[in-house]
Amino acid sequence: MSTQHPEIQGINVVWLGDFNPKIFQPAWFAAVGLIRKQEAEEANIEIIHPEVVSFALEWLILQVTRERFFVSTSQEPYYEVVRDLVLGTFSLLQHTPIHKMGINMDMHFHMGSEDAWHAFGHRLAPKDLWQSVLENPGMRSLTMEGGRPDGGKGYLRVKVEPSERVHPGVYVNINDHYEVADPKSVVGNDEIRTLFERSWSESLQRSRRIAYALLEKQ
Amino acid sequence: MIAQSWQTGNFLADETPSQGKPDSSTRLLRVITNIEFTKDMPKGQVLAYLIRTPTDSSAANLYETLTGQTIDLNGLNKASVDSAHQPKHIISLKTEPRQSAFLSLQKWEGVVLEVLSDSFLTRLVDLTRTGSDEEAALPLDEVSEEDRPLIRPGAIFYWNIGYHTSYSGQRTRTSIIRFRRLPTWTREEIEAARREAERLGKSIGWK
Repeated sequence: MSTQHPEIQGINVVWLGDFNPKIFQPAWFAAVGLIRKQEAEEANIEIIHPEVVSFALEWLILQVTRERFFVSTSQEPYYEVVRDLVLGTFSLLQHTPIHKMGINMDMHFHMGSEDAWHAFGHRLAPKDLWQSVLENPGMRSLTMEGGRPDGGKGYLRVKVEPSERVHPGVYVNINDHYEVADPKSVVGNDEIRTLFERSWSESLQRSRRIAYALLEKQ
Repeated sequence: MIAQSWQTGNFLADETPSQGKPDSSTRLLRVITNIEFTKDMPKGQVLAYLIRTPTDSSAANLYETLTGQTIDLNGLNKASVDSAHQPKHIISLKTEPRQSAFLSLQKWEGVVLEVLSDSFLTRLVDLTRTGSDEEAALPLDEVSEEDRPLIRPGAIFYWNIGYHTSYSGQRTRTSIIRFRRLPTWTREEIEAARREAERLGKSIGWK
């Protein structure tokens, strides 16, 4: 299969630390100028509670619990906007301690034909071993993990599955996971924020390269 | 959780949530500060707001994943819960966040060079492929009303041309311009930064 644009794609950013969820309301984001006032007015708020906040804008889903901050978008024009939102938020909340971060990408590729789709699955998970123990074996999910290419603390996990949204298609999910050098000494989020700003472009490019490299070897 | 006595405060007016008095103003932006909240929400209930698709994992395992891993708990490969498979006697009041999709064909990062009466001059960096910078004049009308005050020399914006696919599957070719938004600095912060710059300047003998 030749390299092509994904049919569906999205990114999400996950930060782990100690949060005060109820700060993260659409009105607060608008008040500090990080989103448009009209977007805040039209936000689809699911819950705002001291334990959990969840709301969606036209281009963003945001969820925060006491341990986790999560934002995602499935619209490519807003990737940089999401980055700015995260950086802007935590430069205001600079004392919120953060110790882990994920810059994650999801992509669905159309495989062109059922034959190419099966061939890709066979290539990633050869069926020789499975033929003797299962009837008509097929790959449902495969996760591979590697160390950080930049030598930092963390890992890269690549998950490949048959797409449930594009047929015949393949879903590739990349979890680019980072950790601070010494979690016990974390006071605020300067270390993660710097890491995030520095790693952002390279992380997205690397995730695309990984997906394309897997698909190009068809 | 039983939500009672909702208190609201107008964040834009005083920048702090009102703790005691209901806001009777007609402004729409409110920060919700319900003082009657039960502090502890069961973990299972918290998870119910975060995980949209049925899973075989126990709440304890899911919570461990939530607090230890940086993955999307739902993933973009899971279809939404099919309401046909939900018990008929349960009426769910939860709203499922939905997002349409957009695939960029061409993507630029721009900086505003000059603002004219009905357009603005920009330098554009192509983010889709490497190449030389380009200069272009864009009509002010291309920019959303709320972003127009952000158009000033030096402002950064993102310009995407691509296919927008709505929830219902309708695909349209669209252009989106979005200006970078950074936190609003307070006068005290600007003053502190000025003092720090002055101190640094003096320390290196800069006149």
